[in-house]
Amino acid sequence: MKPIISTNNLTKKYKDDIALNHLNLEINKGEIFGFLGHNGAGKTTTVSILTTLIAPTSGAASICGYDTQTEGLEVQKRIGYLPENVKFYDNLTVYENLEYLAKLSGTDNPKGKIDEALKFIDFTGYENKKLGEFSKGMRQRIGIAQAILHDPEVLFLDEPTSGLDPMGIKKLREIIIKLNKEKGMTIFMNTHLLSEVAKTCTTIGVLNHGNLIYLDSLENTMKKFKDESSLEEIYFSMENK
Amino acid sequence: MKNTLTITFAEIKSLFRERIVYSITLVFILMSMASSFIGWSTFTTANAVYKSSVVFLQGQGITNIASNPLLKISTLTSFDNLIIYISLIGALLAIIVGHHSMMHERKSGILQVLFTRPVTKKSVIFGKVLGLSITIFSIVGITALISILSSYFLPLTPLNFSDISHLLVFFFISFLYMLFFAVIGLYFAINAKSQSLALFLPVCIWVGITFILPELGTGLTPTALLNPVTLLQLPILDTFFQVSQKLLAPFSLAWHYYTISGELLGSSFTASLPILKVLMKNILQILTLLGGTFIFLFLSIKSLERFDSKGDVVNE
Repeated sequence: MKPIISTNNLTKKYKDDIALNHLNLEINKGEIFGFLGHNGAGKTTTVSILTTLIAPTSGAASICGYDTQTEGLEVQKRIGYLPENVKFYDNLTVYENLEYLAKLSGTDNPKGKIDEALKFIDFTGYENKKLGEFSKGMRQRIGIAQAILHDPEVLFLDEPTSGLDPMGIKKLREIIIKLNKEKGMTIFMNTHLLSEVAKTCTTIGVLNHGNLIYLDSLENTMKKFKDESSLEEIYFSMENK
Repeated sequence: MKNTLTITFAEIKSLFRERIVYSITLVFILMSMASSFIGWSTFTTANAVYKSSVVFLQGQGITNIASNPLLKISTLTSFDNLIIYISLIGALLAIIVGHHSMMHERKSGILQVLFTRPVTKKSVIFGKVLGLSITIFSIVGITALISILSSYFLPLTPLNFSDISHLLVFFFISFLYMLFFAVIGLYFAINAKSQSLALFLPVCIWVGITFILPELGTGLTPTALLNPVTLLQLPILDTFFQVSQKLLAPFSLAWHYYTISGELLGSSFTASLPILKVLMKNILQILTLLGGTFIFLFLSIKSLERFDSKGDVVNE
């Protein structure tokens, strides 16, 4: 099976700093990939390259077989993205925010897609309220809604549970799993919350100072490190190697 | 084109729900009303002085008294305070609107979402500038309407068709002048690393264009800067200012704005000129203003194309 996300020696340098060092990654369709790493490990840089926001210094990446640099528009049609801490337009209603992004995504039936997305995130009845009136957890759900309006094949989430309360985290986790199960969406999730990876992801990758130090399924990981009692211990033992 | 219009409509919708835009519109309406009132007040005072002078001269036995010169002055001159208000306050407010338009996107992180959609960066800039243009045009349009209506409410000579045409062309030139500053605000909001710097730099340009360039471009005749009456200008004797005037006058946008507006509205000393004559006479100046807007628009597109939204951090 051809991987839906693939990187080949992907490297990004900022002057003398290497943010990402020859990253080789293959993620298959239908996976929920948890990308772990400490702050500054290069997770957001990876997502930024994969979502066409920035160009790599060297190497290549492809989504659904399309090169992120030379076929950016094709990639953009097939991805959804929720950056960390995005606020959208506070003074526009939920519906207006979603309508704006649905139109820019080239959806044929914006209203139908918005209704569908709101129903999916269990948000119907709030569409005419201004975005500024909602809590961070609810805004993150709207963030997911905007990212799935055009039925993308791959969804990129950058620290989606950052700053959320336990209820908000639980709700968001349920939505992510539902998106994967019901819509068959491949999900690439940057996080440093190990508990979230254990409960949500099927595959994990660990990035340390721009280097991929581990990549395997969650199931295999648990088997390999059976002496460790939690994913947290596994993670720290990997990072210390 | 479809994406540009989508961005334009969202921009207008968002801007018109911002307090800052409401405040700007209110300031403009008040400025317009104040200008009409000051114009009427000046006219009434001068007229009263003329009448009491006539009574005094007749008491002295003088019968050969000149007719009231104020009756020859167009009501349009009552609005000439607007020239100063728009060049000082209007331009500054336009910078704020342009700044807000892009700074909000950067601070909220919407740019990152936009750039992962099948939308070109040119569409983003064109959509924003079109949205800014419609917003500023609406604010100036409301001010124009209030100005015209106020001439009917204040005891001024009602404006005739020619006066209204002159006033509308004056407001259109004011719109172009404000748009230039709005695009400057937008440009620095894309490029500056901090929000305060993104406001400070265009304000420096505004100071340069409003105060420094006209002073050098007119050979440091400050009275000419604050009054669009060319008769009050003194001849330039100093060599430095003769040179600076030759070099800088073509780029002195504020001075061009004063000149065109002064010629359109007229003054207590000069009648307003026919619209076509004003436009033909100042075609190069109008093109300079449009050219300045297009240069900053072009620079904004180039900046956004190089924009690294991943590494973008906006400090307060």
